[in-house]
Amino acid sequence: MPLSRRQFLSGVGATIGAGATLTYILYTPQSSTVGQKRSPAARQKRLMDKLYPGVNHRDWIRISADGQVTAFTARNEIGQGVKTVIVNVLSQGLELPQERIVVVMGDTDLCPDDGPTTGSNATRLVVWSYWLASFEIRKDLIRLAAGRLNQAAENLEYRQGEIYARENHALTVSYHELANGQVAKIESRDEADYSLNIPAYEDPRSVNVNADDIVTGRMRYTSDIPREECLYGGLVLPPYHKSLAEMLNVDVSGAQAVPGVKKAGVVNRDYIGVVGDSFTAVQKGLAAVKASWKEPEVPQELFVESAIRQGRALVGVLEHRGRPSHDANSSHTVVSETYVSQYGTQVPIEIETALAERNGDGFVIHIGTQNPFAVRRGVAKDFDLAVENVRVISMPAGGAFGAKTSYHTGLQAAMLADWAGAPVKLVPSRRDDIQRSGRYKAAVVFDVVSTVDKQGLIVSQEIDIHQDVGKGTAHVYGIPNVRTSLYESPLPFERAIMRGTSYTQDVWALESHIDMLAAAVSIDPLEFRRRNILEKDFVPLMESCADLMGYRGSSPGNGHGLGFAMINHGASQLGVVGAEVAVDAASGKIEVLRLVGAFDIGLVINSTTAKAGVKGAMLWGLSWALLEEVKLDGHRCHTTGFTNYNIARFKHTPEIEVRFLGDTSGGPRGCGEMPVPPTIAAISNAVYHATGIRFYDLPLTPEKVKAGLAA
Amino acid sequence: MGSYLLDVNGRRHHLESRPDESLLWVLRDKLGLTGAKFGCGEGMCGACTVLVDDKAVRSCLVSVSSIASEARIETIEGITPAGGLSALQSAFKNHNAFGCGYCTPGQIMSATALLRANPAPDRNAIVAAMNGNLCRCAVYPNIIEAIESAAGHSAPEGP
Repeated sequence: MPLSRRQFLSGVGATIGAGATLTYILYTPQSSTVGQKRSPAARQKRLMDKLYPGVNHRDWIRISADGQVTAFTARNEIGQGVKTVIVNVLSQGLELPQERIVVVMGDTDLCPDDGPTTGSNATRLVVWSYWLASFEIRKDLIRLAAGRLNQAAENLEYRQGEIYARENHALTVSYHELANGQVAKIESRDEADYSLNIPAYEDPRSVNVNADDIVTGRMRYTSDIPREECLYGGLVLPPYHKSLAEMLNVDVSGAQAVPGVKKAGVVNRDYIGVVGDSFTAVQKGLAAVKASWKEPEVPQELFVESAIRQGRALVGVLEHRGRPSHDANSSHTVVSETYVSQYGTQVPIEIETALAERNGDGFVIHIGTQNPFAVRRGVAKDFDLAVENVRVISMPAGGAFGAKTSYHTGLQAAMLADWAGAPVKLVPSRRDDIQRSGRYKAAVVFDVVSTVDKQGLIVSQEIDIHQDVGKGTAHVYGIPNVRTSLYESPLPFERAIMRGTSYTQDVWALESHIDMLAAAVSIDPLEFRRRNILEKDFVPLMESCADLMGYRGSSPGNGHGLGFAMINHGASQLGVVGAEVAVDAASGKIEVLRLVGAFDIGLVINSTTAKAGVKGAMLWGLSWALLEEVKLDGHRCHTTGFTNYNIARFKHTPEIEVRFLGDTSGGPRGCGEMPVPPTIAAISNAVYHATGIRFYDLPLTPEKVKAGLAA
Repeated sequence: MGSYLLDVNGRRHHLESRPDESLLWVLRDKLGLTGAKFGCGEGMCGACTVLVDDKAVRSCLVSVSSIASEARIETIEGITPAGGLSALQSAFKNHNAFGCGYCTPGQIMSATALLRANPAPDRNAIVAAMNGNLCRCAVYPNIIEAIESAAGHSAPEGP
C-alpha cells in the first residue's frame, strides 16, 4: 500500500519550512556498474572528472517538494543564452515544463566550480552533462516508482513532476518523494536512449528564458543593484602597465573639493581611489587628482611590426614534421609573406562593474564575470583570507568576450570597499575599460613561406608567429614538411583574450596565404583547399557554402569579390565562411554585402541561440577585419572610447545566412567563437578577389585600401 | 544642489540633484529606473537612450538642469504595458533580438521613436534610425527583423 505523501514525509523527517515550497532533497546518485562499453554518460563523466575533479552534475540537481528543479553551475549568462539551453535539456530530461526549472549561476557559495565561461565549451561540457544526468535520473525515477507503486515500468508515465500508472491515475508518486528513497543502479547501456528531441527553430521552447526581463528593462546587471549606503568608486589608473608604474607625486586636494566626493587618496602602492555619491562625482574627482608616475624605459617605437620583432625570443616549436625547405624551381613555386594585425580590445557594452562589501572578515562581491572562482581566489589571496570568506555572486554580464575573466575588477572593488569602510560600486569609465593599464588583445606578426607543387599540393611550410599562441590550422591541411615556431616579445602590455580563438589572427593570415598559394599556381581557391585538406568532413561544408554564395568559380573582380576561409577549432568545430564584398577604389571603403557560413558543430540543442551566436561571431569577425584597432604610442594608449575605437554597427550589417551540417550523434561541440577567424579571412580573400591587391595589415581601413589601390 | 521637476513616464517627480548631473544617472539613481544603461558617457553607444517628447535622446549627454519641466520623458519602464509586452517588445522576444540584453532597452527606445515617426520604415530607414545603438553581441540582423515585424503590427496598440 503506497504511503500517503504526508506519511512518507513525516516518516523520513523531511522538513518543510514556512511557506512550504522550498525543501531541497539532494538526489543521491549510485555509481553505475562498470560495463564492457561505457555509456555516453560515463564517457562524459570521465571527461568532466579530468577537467573539474569532484564535480558530478547528477549531484547538483535538486528537486523540491513543489516540483521545482534547481540546477547549479559556475557558468554565467554573458549573451550566449546558456541558461536557456540548460533549461531546455533539464525540462526534456526530467519531463517537466520549462517554467519549473531554475538555474543558479556563478555563486561561489552555492555552485560547483564547473569551469569559467570561456572556450565556447559550456554547451559541450555543462549542458551536455546536465542532459545526461537528467536522463539517467528520469530512468531511475521510473524504476523506483515501479517498485513504489507496484507497477511494471512500461505502465508508468510522467506528468509534471509525478509518475503515475496509466491505468489508474490515482496511483502516483512525486519525484521529490522518490528522490529521497533508494536509487536503483543504472542498467541500460542502450545509446539510443540518450537521443534528445530538439525543438524546431522558432519553437516557443527555444525562446530565451530571460526574454521578458530583457525586453522590459527588468533584467538586472551589477550596476542596477540598489544598495543602501553604497558609494560609487573609481581608481586613478597608472598610464602604463602596473608592473612598470611607480607612483611619484599624488595630490588629491582637487578631488576632495569636488561636490559629492566622500574620500580621495592613495589606496595602496598601485592605486589612488575616489569614492562618492554618484558616478559623475567620482569621475570628476578622478579627473581632479594630480598624480605622476615614473616614465618607464621601454621602446617608444610606434610601428607595431618592428617593435614586435625587436628582441623576440623563441617560446617553442609548435609543430615540426619532415624537412621543410623552399627552393623555387620548374616544378615548385615558393610564396613568402608577412601578415600583421593590430591591437584590439573587447569593449562589451557593459563595462566590467563590481559591487563589493565587507562581510565579517571577508567580502561579498556582485559582478558580471566569466570566472567567479578566479575572482574569489584573487580577492582571498590579496587580503590573505581563506577562500570561504569571500563570496562572489555572478550577475548576468552585459557582454564579456574575454574582458571579464580575471579577478582585477572584483579585487579593485574590494580594495575600495575596505579603504572606504562602506559598500562600493566600482563603475569604470569606458576609457579605463579600454586602457586598463595595458591589457590588450595582442598584435600579431605572422611570417609564412610555403612551397607548392604544380598539382597545387603544399609540400613545405614554415611559419614564425609573433605574439600569438598557435597556428590553429594544423588540423585543416595535410602538409608533409612543416615547422611552426612561436615567438614572444618583451612589450609592456598584458595579453588579453578576445572572442574568437586563441589564434584568430593566425587563421586570418594562413587562410589568406592559402589564397595566395592558389593564385600562384592558378588554381581556384576552393579547389586548392579541397586538394590539400585533411578532413573530408570539410567537403560538404565547402559545397554548402559555395551553394549559399552562388559560387561558380573565381573570375576577375572589378571591385566586386567573393572569398572563402576555413577553420578546424580544437578538432571538433568545423567552419567554412564565405564573404561577398564591394570595394570602392575612390574612397577605399569595403562594403560586405553578404556573409554565409556552413558549420559542423555536432548536435545543435537550441538553434535560436546557436544561430544568434554564430551570426554574432561572424559580425565580430567583420568588425575585426575592417574596423578595430587600439592605437598605441610606445606604452601609451590613445584609444579612449567609441569615438576612436570603431566596432560593427547596424550600417555594417550584411545579409547573413548560416547552415548547420554534420553528424549530431556525438552531442554538442560548441560554436560561439569559431566563426570569427574564418570570417576575417573570407572578407580579406574577397577583397583580394575584388581588387587583385592583397592587404597584409589588419584592420583593412579605407586609408590602407585607398593607398594600396592607388600604388 | 538644485530642485527639479521632471515628467517621467507620465508622472511628475520632484527631486534634488546637482545641476550638471546627467538625466541618465538621475533616472537610475534618483528614480530607480535602471533600464537605461551606462555604456560610454559620450553618446556613442546608445545604451542610455530614452524618449523626450517622442524623440530618441542619449540621456548621458543631457544635464538634468537643461530639461524643461513639461518635457515628456519616457523610459523602457514606461513603454511596457502593465502585466505584458508591447507589440515591439514581443517582436524583440520572438525574434531573439538580443544577446546579453544590456543594450536592449536603448534599442527598443530608439525603435519606438522610429515607429512613432515612421510606422512603416523600410530596411534602410531602420538602419539609419538605429545606427547610433551599438550591440556588441551583434544581433543586428535579428533586431532589424523584429522592427520590421513590429512595424506590420504597430497600430492600434502602438509600439
